Amino acid sequence: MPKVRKRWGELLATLLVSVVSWGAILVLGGVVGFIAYKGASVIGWSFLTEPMREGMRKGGIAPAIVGSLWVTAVAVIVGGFIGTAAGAYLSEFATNRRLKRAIEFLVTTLAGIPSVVYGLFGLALFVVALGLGASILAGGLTLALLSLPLLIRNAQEAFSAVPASLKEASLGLGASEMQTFLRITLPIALPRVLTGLVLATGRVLGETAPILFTVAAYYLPTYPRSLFEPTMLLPYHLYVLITSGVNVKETYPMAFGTALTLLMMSLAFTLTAAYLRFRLKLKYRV
Amino acid sequence: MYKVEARSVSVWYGSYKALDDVSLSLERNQVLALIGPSGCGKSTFLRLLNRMNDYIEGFRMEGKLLIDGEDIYSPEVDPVHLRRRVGMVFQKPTPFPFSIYENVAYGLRLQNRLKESQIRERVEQALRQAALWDEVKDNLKKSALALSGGQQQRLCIARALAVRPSLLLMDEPTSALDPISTAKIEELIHELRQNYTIVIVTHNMQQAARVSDMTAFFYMGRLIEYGRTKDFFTNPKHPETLRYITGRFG
Amino acid sequence: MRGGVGKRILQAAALTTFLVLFGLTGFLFREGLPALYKSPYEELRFAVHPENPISQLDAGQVRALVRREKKWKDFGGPDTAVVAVHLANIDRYVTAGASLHQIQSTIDSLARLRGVLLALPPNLLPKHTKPLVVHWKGWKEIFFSTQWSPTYEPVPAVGFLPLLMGSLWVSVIGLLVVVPLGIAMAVYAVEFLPKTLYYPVKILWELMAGLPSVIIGFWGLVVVVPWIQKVFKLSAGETALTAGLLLGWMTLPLMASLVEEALRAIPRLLEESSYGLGATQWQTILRLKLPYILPSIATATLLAAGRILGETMVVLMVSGNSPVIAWTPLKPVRALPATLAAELGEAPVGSYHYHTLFLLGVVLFLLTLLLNVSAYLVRPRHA
Repeated sequence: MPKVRKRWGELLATLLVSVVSWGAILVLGGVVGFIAYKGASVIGWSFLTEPMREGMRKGGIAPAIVGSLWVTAVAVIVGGFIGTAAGAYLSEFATNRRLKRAIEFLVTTLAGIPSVVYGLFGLALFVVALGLGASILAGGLTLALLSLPLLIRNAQEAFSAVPASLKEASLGLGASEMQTFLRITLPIALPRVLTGLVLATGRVLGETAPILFTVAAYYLPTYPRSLFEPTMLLPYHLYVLITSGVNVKETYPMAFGTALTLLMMSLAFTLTAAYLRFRLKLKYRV
Repeated sequence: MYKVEARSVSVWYGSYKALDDVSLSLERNQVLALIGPSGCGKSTFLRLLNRMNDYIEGFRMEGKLLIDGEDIYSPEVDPVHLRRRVGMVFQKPTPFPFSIYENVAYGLRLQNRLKESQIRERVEQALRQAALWDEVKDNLKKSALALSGGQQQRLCIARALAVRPSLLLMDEPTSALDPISTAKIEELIHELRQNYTIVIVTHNMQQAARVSDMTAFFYMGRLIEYGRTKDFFTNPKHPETLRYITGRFG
Repeated sequence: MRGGVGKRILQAAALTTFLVLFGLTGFLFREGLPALYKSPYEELRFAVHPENPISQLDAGQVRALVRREKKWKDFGGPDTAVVAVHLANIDRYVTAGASLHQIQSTIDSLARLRGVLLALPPNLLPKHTKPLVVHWKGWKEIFFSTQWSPTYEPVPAVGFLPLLMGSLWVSVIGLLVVVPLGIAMAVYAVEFLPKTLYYPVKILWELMAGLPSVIIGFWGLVVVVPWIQKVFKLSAGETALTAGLLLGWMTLPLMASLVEEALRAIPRLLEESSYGLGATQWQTILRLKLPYILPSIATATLLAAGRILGETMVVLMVSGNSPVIAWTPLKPVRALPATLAAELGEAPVGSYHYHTLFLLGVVLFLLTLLLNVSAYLVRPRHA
């Protein structure tokens, strides 16, 4: 019988896929590292808490942070309620199979629509037709619609993961469907539902295209006082700083500081979600 | 020289001991049936013979396992080459989602040395050996998934035979098939023993009695009894064997 | 039926998905379709000198005259230079702060030139001129014109072709990156990645997928653009290639996780059958596993294509945004979504430009819809 021999072709192929995999991750490290390196010296207490000054060459970015938080909050609260309710319906209550499949197909379809198209829709519906103008509410609602597919799918999975035996036990004790849902299914699924919300928050925070025409202000160094006002936001502020400054080089430090702030906020949510999901996996082994 | 010889073979998966001190030897051109209740170690033993257990996490083996007098677990042995000499058929038909022809040619193409005309020849030969040629010769391009379950299993046998192994392993090859297909496969085993040595795992005692020359009864990882099939079923030596073949457990 | 109000509320929430899709489609079409039947210069009247024999032209010819790419002679007119007078260039002829009366008399005197081409609101048009009919060819202007210059006065060019071409370039390059590399990453994760590193790597994939695109665009602008410029010795590093590479990279997690899922769903016995026939690990991967998951790879590719086609900020920031048909990937291009993001903010609501951009949105929407529905149709059924 022939002896063991090294298969050089196989080793080369293995090496190739390893290099590709780690290379892609290395680029991620490059992006994060580069922005952290350049931005770290800019970020400080005053940068995070003061408004912009002198055009936007000096000062901080506090109005953009506050604006981003407002818009994200509107999006996640509205999207969270609708998404969770829709997910609950699909997982627990949908008796009409065809309707259920149709909605699931719609969710898939909506997930594939580019975010800039949601921006157009938000402009036409919320800003123009409903007369909200460019405002936190219009932007937040646009982003809520954008994150619906993610939230619905996540909620549906969360509710479906609750063991049927628990639901049946509750029904067997004479609880109604809705009582079972509110007292058994919802509390058990809640950690997963919330994990999905955290993930969506991270995504929404970094979205740029849909806010361009629905809420973002070019330069408005004050804090919003109501939901019906436009506001500055981190992603758009960053975009403005690097593309339309009079002297781009002069605003670069501000851009790196803004980018790092946005990156840290968005990564914080994504990482938390990943960590929570990992914990849940260990806990329930699903 | 025996075709297969096991010398006090033990196997662990992690801390679980799956085989305990198994020794047996099998002559060339014989059919060996491995029987016993689920989890008794018979499949583990079968999969040792083509080193299919190598991929299972925590797998560890002690003892010696010889095929044609050669220790197949010696570090010099390449499992890939071993498997080209030891064919295997699984408990469910596992046709690849290609054409009938490409399924049988799969193993031949792996070695890259044959011309297309030679491959064609060997495919036909293998399909004839597996008694499938007459049923499929007119549509070799058809997807293998379109065949019936019994045909698929014979296709898998043909696929294994095409690479010309000298030892054929069958892991409950008829467990997913209807009685007529089962009968055809058993008939096939009868034919094949003229050229091959066959080891077959089965749940079905009548099948073991019908197709095999030798029978080995495993229980809780141990080889309880091993002998000629004729004597085995008429005159078992061990009370556990008697209880199993009369259907009192398993 | 049991359940009552609570159930109704949940059902209503689920039905909002219908509302969103129909509303989205409805509003896009409502705002976009007028671009097909309206004309961009409805408020303008065109006129020439009475002795000019030309009485009708189409929009492209007028554009060429204003740009001085063509002369009157080319269309059978007098052998004189073209003097275009329209609202956007009137300041060339009058001093700043001129009164309306002064402007009117300037226009009147300009109208006496034999080569004049006037494009003005009816009230500013001098009396003794000959009207010129300018044909706007509607949807043909949009889908066959190779120019995109939607604010050009007095006759804009609104051809989608250069934008479609730009999107095609970045999508093709992006797919060339993401499909092979994404498959490689999935194969690595399933076949070779040590178990202890699996979750860390998956989390890194998620971080990659969650990076805000504006940050990727920023990094691309400061790092990748200069690099491309240096490597290919270009005058500007903002090219279709730059955008395609970044888009490909950012879509890797999507592609890799879809392919990984498919690889993990391959029945174990099938894999063992291949090994049992004496196949090596890579032979099993290349000859059995990848052919086996081909439908899933097709689905993943279509989904990735949809994602790449719709990605806005990265393309906007690193592709150069030049609405000219490019014949090599080392030229700047402008893609559909980037055009929307760049221009919609400046187009007055209800203007022709605004409708054109919504129509562009309709095209983008339909293209991505097509990709996603195809992905749904070719998906593996048994999985």
